[in-house]
Amino acid sequence: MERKKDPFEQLAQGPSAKFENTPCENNENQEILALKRLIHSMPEKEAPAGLTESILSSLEPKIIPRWLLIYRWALRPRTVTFQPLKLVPAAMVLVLGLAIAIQFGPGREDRGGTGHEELIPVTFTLSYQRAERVSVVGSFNQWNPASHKMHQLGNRNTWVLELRLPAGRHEYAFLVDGKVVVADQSSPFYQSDGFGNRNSVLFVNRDEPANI
Amino acid sequence: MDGNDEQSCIDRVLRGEVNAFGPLVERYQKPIFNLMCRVAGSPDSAADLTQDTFIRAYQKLERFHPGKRFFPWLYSIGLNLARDFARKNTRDLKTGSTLDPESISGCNYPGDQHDSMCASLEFVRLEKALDELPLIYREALILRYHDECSMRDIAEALSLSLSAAKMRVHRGLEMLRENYKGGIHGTQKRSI
Amino acid sequence: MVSFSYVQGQPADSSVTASVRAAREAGVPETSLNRLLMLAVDHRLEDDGVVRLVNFLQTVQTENLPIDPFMGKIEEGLAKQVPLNTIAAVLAQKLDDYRFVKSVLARTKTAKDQEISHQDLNRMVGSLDAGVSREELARFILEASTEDLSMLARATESMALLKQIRFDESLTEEILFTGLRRNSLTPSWDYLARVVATAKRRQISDDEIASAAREALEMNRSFADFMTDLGFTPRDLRHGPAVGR
Repeated sequence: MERKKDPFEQLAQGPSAKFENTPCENNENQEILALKRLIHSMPEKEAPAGLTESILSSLEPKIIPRWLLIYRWALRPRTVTFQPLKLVPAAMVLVLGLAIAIQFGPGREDRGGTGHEELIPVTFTLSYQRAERVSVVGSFNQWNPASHKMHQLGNRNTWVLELRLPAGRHEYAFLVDGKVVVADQSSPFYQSDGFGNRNSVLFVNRDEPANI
Repeated sequence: MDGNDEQSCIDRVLRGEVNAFGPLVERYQKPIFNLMCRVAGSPDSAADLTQDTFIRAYQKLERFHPGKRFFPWLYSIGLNLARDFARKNTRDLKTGSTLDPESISGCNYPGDQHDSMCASLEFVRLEKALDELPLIYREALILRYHDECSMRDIAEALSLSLSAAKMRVHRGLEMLRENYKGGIHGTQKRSI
Repeated sequence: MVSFSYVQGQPADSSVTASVRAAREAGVPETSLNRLLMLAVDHRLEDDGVVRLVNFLQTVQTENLPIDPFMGKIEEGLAKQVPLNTIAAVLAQKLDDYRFVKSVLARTKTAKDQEISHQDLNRMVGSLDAGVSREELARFILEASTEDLSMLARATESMALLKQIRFDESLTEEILFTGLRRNSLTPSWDYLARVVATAKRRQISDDEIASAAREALEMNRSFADFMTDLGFTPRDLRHGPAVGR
């Protein structure tokens, strides 16, 4: 009968890696260490040839407002050298830049709540003919169309989105193709947006998941 | 290329030099492409997703905070795209690869050295065991032990707190160990 | 037509920088300024447009009014691709609404003794966007006998919502004034209009609804008791109206 091979025995004899000299945590067993070595040595696949050129060829030159470049310059970590004549305006901009720490990131995070309250499931449904894309915009996502994009069902005129919202009152509308504002015609409650449209009003109750 | 060089590239891009984005693409296309290979079913899809990641990063470049590391920010963009892709293609986020322990994935491994490594059963088994992990756990391990990122960078790349990122790495290793052992026993049974 | 300029060499100060600095010194929260600046980037606003919006926020802050509703209106307008001039006009109208409501409150005894919270002020002003006229709102505030500004805010919001679903206006006043007088218009009554809307769909008369509400508020019974009196369970409200059909 063949002895069952311990898989980690083979790994322990595998290619050496930087982890050999890495101090082990207390109680870290050899199996874990062997896996770390293996992950470290895992072969990488090469990206397809010409990818860089393909990416660059699809990009347009950026046009950035002057004031944003000033802020970015002010936010950069740097060593301030003392030059009496140039110090005052540079310092003013630097102080301003440090004082206003702009939250940069891949995109604004949408948060249905503050992170502390319970969130209740809500389903939005819209029937709309010949729409390319539909978003739900509202008080719960800072009216950001990128936050909550709806999905088409098999019947391509029906759009659905499920999300979780904190209990309370929320104002919202559907934004079709980035420009057409559609209110919930069957929702009894509305709020004039001041721009000539009506937003719908939703009341989310802790005890009741809502279908809108 | 260090952080200052990257910042210099970004500054030039923001001043209108498209080609200044090239060095950043060259530097990070491989890890992003490998991320997408783990999620997408084909190298073509992985290449498309890689391209989308860089294009999106370019579009949002003015929002990238000066002084931070570019790679974790780029990775988080890629991860969001990977998740969207997996969701739309009704793939289980845990199993982004079609890897079979008896075969090697469809992406090419250039060179004799990589061919022999790919043929190594340990790596095939590892890839299968990684495949069975939830996406975030898998990526946490790869960022930590393959790409050698700091925990802070991992937290940013995965949009987690530092403690949550540490937990994902720790727990991910435990889960990987179980998967790896289970995969080995399964393979041995097939070979009998 | 949007126009921007490159920065060549050493960056210099700008009008946007100056206006942001002034707004910050006036106390406008940094989170609000950050939100506004990111909106400006996303929507490619011209410098003078950014300055205009920042200066407006400074005005709001100086008058000790809540910033968030104005930030929300800016976000909403930009998302809906409303021209900046129109957004500015709507903001000015909204500022005037806040000033109006504060002036009415200043004429009540209650407001003399206590400061209204931003949340309660937002609710009262919101009733103007929900179809209540300034005259109706002023009359309601001045006639309501309550020392609880949160309850008063809740009542004004309910008044607006019940008006939208065409509930009898005199019965509305009876219900709400009862709740204010008895101090029983607690937070659970936020859902009053929603329950009334469903009750009306079930052909329950306004009189019957009002009778049940008045009794519950007069006797300090719970909102759940009111619903039960109408024949409701919480599960009844679980399936709301579909949208867009």
